[in-house]
Amino acid sequence: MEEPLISSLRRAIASSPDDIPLRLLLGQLLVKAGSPAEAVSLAAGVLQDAPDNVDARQLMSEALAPAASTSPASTDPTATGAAPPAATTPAAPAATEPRAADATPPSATIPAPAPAPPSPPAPAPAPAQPEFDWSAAENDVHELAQPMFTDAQPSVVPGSGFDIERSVITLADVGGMTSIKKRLNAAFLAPLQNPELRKLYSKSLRGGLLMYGPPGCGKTFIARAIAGELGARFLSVGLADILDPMLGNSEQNVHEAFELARREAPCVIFFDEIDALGQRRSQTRNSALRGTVNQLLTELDGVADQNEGVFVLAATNQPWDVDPALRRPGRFDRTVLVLPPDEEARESIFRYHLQHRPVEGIELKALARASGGLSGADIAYVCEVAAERALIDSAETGELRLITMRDVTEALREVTPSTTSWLDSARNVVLFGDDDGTYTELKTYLKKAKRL
Amino acid sequence: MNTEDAALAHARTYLALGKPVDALRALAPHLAAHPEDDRGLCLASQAHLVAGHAARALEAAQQALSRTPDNEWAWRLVALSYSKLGNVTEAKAAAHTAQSLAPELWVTHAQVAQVDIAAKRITGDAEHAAREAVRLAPLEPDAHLTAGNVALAQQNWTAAEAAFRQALNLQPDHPAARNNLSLVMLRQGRAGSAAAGFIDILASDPGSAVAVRNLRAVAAVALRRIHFILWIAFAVVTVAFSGASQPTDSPLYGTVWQDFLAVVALTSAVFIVVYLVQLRRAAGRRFARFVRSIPRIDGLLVVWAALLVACWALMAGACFAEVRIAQVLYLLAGALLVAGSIVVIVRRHLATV
Repeated sequence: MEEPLISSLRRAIASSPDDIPLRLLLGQLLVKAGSPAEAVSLAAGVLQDAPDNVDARQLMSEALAPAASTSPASTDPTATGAAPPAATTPAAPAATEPRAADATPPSATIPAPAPAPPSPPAPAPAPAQPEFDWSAAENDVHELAQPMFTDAQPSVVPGSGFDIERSVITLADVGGMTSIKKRLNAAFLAPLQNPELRKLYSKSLRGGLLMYGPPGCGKTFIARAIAGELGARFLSVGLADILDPMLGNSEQNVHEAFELARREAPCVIFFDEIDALGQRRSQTRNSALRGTVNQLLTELDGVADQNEGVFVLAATNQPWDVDPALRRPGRFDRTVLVLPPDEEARESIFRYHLQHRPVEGIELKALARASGGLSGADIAYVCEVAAERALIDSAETGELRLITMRDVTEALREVTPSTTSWLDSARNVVLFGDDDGTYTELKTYLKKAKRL
Repeated sequence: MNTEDAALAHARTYLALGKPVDALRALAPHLAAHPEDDRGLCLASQAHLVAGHAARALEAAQQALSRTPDNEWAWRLVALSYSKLGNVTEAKAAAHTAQSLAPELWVTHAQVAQVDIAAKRITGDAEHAAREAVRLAPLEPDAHLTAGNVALAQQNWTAAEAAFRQALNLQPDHPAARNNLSLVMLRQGRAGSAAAGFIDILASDPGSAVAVRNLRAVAAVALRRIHFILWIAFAVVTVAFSGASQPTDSPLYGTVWQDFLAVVALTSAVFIVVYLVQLRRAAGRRFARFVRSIPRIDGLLVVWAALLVACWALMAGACFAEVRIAQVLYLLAGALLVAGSIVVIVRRHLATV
């Protein structure tokens, strides 16, 4: 009699997938029908939409209870309703221990579960505390934490070691950072997106854009967003893609990257860590690196119209180490300072990193206010630490609990901004090395941040 | 070039870029496949040293030595690692072994000198080794740098300056030679030139913590000179009138005391201005930048400077005030000088902490 009911519920949910009570009801029936894994998935889905839903949490706990997942006896409604959890455990150990051992990878950050009572001298009923099914929990969280932008599928072009992809994100996906977006628009996007105006003002399309700023503040993400904004393919080139010990091969790799970008035009070619690839030639005795800089210069200059539809972007944490020749007009002549995220951006970043996790009562605005100076990577780490706290706590108590505001605020206290040392160096640049006003934007920021 | 060489070349390139972690990553598969390769182990040791992990560097170098005991590179790395770990005796022994294994290589001699330089105890061996390094590689800037460092440690400013200048002739942007040349100038009392040198280093390498620290030292030297002038002025006035038997409310006493104070304050001001002009001349256009940078690099220096300025202002004010008030101002000026000295002590304490 239950089977048709479950089927009907499934159909009902298919037609109205947002109906939470319906999903919970199906979950409860699935638990009773001996399909706890599916119930866990359902509860997780509900918690994702409504993190503070008590019924969903209850369902999750019921579904994760070992007896429910292993003991057919629990299908008897009276047994599960009347018996305390201890009564459901005897059958569990034999089934759950191997599973737990298989599924839970050893982790340095997760201490051993809470100490169980000393082993009984003789075979005895299992400990009263129900064991937590980590296998199911991990599977559940794994499904929750899907990568956000999965449809940008990298594809390796035949004959090339470079990955080229079509970026689906745009600047609208970059939370906050309004001033940076405006600057990007003025310096780069507006001339590209308005060919008529460009012709009217005889604006050249030559030259690339250099983004610089502290590490972990989203330069690569912005580069992808620019590619998305332009509807162009995205070719990311790192140091490891270029460097080759064979004499001349590094230069060849630079050439190939540009050739690929030209073939796939419109294409954004993005050089990450350009300070390593395009290091000041005076600073290096390594002839391979000198040749690479020369090749990069040649490719950037190109011949007439050779780079049509190729938009060159680069990112660096240390623009002062980039060979000055690369900064000349027609090369990376436009710069954008990508600063630590503003409050609005921090809120978005917290939302992004917490939305696929089981959370409750998170005040994003308060977190954004309290996290001034943190980079995007720092915020990701804060969320990671908060999740770890909740996980460890759940492991110790054997009871699943959601990530709370307290977890995040305490994690926030543990994390110090990784941007500090960069800002110290940046201050020295402004103080001692800004004769030509290259770093005016940085100077303004440092003054505003009272670091100058 | 085979795969083995490729991995080593990759690691070398990463090391040249100052990326020891990437170098170690490049070496990892190679060392997993060829754990006995002494070149790979030496490169790993070098990468650990660059990353600041002397103990791991020592371990890797010793592994290399267990395979090839006559590998002078590995011995040098052992010497360097021990030196970083503060084990001078072992470091010396390893450096001498490398020297005896490859006496024709300047780097082995330089390593012997480096151990003594790091230990801040220059021996005859180190002097001889530095000279030998220069003799073997007269066109190698680092050989001259080593000789300069030995002379610097011996406070032989002339020889040190000559060696660093020679290194800079061979490689004009050699960061260590530029820094140490400025340091020699600072030690010689040429604070302006030293400040200019450190500012130039910071302009090209803003992350240089050593240059920032040295620039702070230049500012401290300049302030110490001004502080000293003011102490002398204060002492002169105090000593000159300490034996006077005139009552303090005597108009004659007051006039003479104030006139004398005015002369001393004016003289001290002249000395200070002359010193600042000298600094300005030596530092050139970088002087303004140097002055502007002080509040940003060390807040206590600003406090110190403010105390000295206030001290002189009180002394000057005392020249024009009524005698009783003048004496109070004068005593306050003395208190500010003492406060300045306390700031110096606090700075020193913070530096050691």
